[in-house]
Amino acid sequence: MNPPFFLAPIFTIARFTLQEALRERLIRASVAMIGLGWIVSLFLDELLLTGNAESRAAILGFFFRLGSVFLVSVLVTFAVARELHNRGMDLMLAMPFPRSVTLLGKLLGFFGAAALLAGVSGLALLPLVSWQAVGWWSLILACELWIMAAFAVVVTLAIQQAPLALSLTAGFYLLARSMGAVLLIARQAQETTAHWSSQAIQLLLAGIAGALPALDRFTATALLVQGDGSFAGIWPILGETGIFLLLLTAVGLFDLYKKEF
Amino acid sequence: MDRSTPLRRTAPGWLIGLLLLALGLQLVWKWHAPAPEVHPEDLGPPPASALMRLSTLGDPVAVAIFWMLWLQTFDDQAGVTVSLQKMDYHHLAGWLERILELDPDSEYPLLAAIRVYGFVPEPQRQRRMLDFVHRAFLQAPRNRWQWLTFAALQARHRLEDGRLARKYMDDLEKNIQTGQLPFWVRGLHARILYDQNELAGARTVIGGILLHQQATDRQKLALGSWLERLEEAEKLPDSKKN
Repeated sequence: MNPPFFLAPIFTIARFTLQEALRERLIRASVAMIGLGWIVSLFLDELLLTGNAESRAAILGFFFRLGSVFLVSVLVTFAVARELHNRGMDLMLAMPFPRSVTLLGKLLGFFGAAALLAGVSGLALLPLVSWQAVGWWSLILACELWIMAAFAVVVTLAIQQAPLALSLTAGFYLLARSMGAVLLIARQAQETTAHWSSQAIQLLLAGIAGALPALDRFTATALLVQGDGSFAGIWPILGETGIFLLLLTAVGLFDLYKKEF
Repeated sequence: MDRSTPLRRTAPGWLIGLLLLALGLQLVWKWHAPAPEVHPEDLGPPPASALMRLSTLGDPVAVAIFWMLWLQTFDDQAGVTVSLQKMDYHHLAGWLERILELDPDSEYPLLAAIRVYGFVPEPQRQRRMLDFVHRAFLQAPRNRWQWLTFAALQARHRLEDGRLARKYMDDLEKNIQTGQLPFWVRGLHARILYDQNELAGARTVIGGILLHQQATDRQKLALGSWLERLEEAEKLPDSKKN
């Protein structure tokens, strides 16, 4: 069955974006990441006093999470930057469909690549953890990767320089993952000193945290160790992902509609 | 020039000379550089809980394992092995506590405290580790009772401190509901009380085992005869007990 006429160009762009990502050796890079992860986990397992499947799954989960985020960020940033410099984006924007179609198609294609990476990472954990836990873990990882892919697309389109965009993406990721702990520190400081400056800092931090996704809550390593999961525990993550992707898409469209090529 | 042979470009002679000179200088420089010195590091105090949490970037379970590995290999520093007896055990207990805070379900810090750091042949350091296990038990008795039992065993056999062993077993009995502790743990409690000449206490614990525990008939018989002996011993004057 063919998609509705207004979705067809989105799917076409998404398919080409995904094909381009696969041509960029995404599969080979993910296999290398998984191989390296297993070697590292086997080595660390030897160092642990009680090496068991849970601890190895925790180490591997941590490694795959960071590795996947790195791969997706690099892939998306360089793919978008190359398209901008090769005038491929100009060509696409000259097509007889709105700019939103281009952005949505790109996003959808990169989301497909990210989902593939999350799935492959999950498969690599199957020898250690139950398939239910791996399923939930992969879904959470896919959510995290979609946010990172969308952020990388938006920021690279906005500043058009790959190294700077990649640095900003890394900064965004670190901030989003550590904001929860930073807020806790600020709250503790406020409890000990009631000075207006500490209140102002906490307000500022709360403002920054409000504009960021709480990626620290996307932690699924505990899920791998305990070996269970449920929709009740996952739906806040799905909700946060949906809302933040909507925000990023709106920011990206705002920037794209204003831009002169 | 024969057009069939490809054109080969070569670097000028002065550039090759410069390259060799730079390589030679680098080798000479390194040859005369002082050898790296060994600086064994002391284990410092642990950072505040909030900073430890910040270090996890929101993934405390995995990062707790990495912190534990770092601590576990701290005695094996580059070029030198630091004896556990020279480590600051006050700081060590603090580190273990922080790591346990990151992943309260992990038993790894407790295992390391009992089986690695608690095995140093120095009573003061052993006590510090047992104390850490005791404090950890009081925070989550239902999940950590095994570790306090091991601590009591270590206090009894390695430290030969029956009073400490008894304190741990008393806390165990106080914090875990009767019937939830396995037979062997309650038997150990009775034995430690008996060692301490607390015959009435031992008798109460054995009575409790017979009442609440699913002991086999053979175990019940053994406990029954022990109970009888305790009752007889209690009737003896203090000078003839034990």
